[in-house]
Amino acid sequence: MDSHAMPGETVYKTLLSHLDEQDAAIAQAIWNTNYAGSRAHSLVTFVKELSNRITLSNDSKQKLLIALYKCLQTNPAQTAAVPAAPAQTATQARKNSSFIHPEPALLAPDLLIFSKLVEQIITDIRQQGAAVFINFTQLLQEKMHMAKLPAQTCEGILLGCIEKEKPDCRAIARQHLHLLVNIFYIALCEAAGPTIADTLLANAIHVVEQTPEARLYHPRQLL
Amino acid sequence: MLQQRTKHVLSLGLGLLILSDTASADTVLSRPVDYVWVALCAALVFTMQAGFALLEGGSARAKNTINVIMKNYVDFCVGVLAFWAVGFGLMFGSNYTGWLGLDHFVPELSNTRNAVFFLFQSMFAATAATIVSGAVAERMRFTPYVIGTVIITSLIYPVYGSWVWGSFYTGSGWLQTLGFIDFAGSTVVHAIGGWCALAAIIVLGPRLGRFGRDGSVRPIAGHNLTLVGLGVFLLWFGWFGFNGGSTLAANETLGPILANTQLAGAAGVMGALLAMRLARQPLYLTTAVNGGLGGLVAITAGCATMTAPFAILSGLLGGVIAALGSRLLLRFRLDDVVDAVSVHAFCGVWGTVAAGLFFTGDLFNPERIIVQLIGVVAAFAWSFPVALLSFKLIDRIWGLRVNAIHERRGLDISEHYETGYPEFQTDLSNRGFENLPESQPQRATTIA
Repeated sequence: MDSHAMPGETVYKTLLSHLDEQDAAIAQAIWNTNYAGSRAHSLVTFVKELSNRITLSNDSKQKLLIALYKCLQTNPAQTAAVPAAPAQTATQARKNSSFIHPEPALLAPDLLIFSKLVEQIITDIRQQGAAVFINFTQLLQEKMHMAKLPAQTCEGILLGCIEKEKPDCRAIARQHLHLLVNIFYIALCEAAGPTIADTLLANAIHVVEQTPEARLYHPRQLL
Repeated sequence: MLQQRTKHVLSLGLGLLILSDTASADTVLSRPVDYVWVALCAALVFTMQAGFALLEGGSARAKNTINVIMKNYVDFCVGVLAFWAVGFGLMFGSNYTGWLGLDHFVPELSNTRNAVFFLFQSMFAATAATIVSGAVAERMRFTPYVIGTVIITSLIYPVYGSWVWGSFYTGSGWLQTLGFIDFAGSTVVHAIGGWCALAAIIVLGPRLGRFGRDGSVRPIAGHNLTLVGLGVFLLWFGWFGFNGGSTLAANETLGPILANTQLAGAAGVMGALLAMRLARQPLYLTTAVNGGLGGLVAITAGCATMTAPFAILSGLLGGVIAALGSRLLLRFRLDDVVDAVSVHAFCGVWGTVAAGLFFTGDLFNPERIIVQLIGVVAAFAWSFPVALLSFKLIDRIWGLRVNAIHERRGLDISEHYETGYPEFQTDLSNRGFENLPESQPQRATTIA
């Protein structure tokens, strides 16, 4: 799943459930010009570029992102062949993923705490408004890309951001945990401002501290 | 008509008399009472360091307080030592060319006159240096900051100072010869410090998240505005020594100088309030106190040579400039934590021009105003490029800015391994920080 050469036709069909035919065609054209064959974490940029061409509410942007991500979780070739692909759920998508996912309880303590911390941060940043959240997601994607983190790591986290579910932390290497926390903080700073970033991070730490798993691995160790 | 001319000449004579009384080396620090007065004023100026520490510490977030206070302590100490070793000689040594002092380096200070004079002037040098610390708070590494302080107090400040005040022993500075007026240092101390601060924040860049990509400005509130208020009260208190002591003599000019200082400070606050009201802003404490400081900076150059109404006008406009200057910096996406550039550089420039405009008995004399402008431009032309080059060099060699992880954790922990408020700063604690043995402090970099 490193690279997703998703054809424009798939994008068109995926977005038809959210856009009218004309807008979906525009989306297909943009995709074919700039994004065909690109990596999954350019989806946010794609949606942003699309929103410059057609009017999209923040809610619609999120829905489009989710639909595209779901689509990406399946085999691109299959998606292209099957017209009604986007109906797949995130859970199904994960089952189709190319590597084996252990249950959350089987995650190592540090990854488990990281997962909870990130989940809390994402929950909190959502409450800052859709515009801030989308900006945050885009910044997060950019920073992770700049840090040259593995594609699976980036996708797992971005999927968690977009799908309002627990981030997929199984593919994250331990040596990247501190870097990722910092990337989250920088994205929070730039999207919502440093004061809110400090507050959200402190709150997330506080919430995760209350969980039983914090006895195994204290969340402050991630700071 | 004749009466008017006579009055004009008399006024001019009075003004020159005041100047000669305050500036001539022969008449200053010549009596024991002068020593007492100037030493007392040096102590008052020393309290300004406490004021700066509180103002800047309160304006920073809780996680950076220790670092800001530490910088204020250390820049004072390093600044005084560097000024003693090199700066004092450059500034006050025999100045034959008008550009530099050539002796009195590492002075022995064995006689009271020299010692008291050095004591007072070293406080000024430290003040110029400490202006930078507020502007660069929350993201500048400690050691490079100290190196920057050495450069300011041993080179940038004293060289310009020698152009204006370099006649204490022998010779005279070139600006002084032109007739440039800067009684207590609107330009020499404040604008020089402000321009150095501007150079530093340009090289450093803004704090994380200070400006959005859409150009929006994110407020980063200081953690304790009570400290800010108290700090400015202390600064104001110290300003009586700053301006009053610059007479270098306990003589009859003190009264007007101190009264002008008081009036301009008060008018500065009013000016800032007025600016906020006209801009339909809330009445921010931070802007109000900066207005007061702007007024005080603005009167520093002309406090001995203008009457009370003009002192009020200078201060009032100083307050307005401090408030508006802050907005100007933000427009250029320059992140100055305490608005030091606006208060010290912009108001320093205005104060120096005002000293020429409102010179008692010789109001709005174009020649005098041109000389003042030359002095202002010379200050910028000397201090800003040298400071910019210095900070860029420091950045290249040692790195000026802390990394993002340290900025997130706060400089208290990453630079000093202490927290200012351990009772509620639990979120800032580090991995293993709680378990550190006191005898073996671990370097912050090892836990990055």
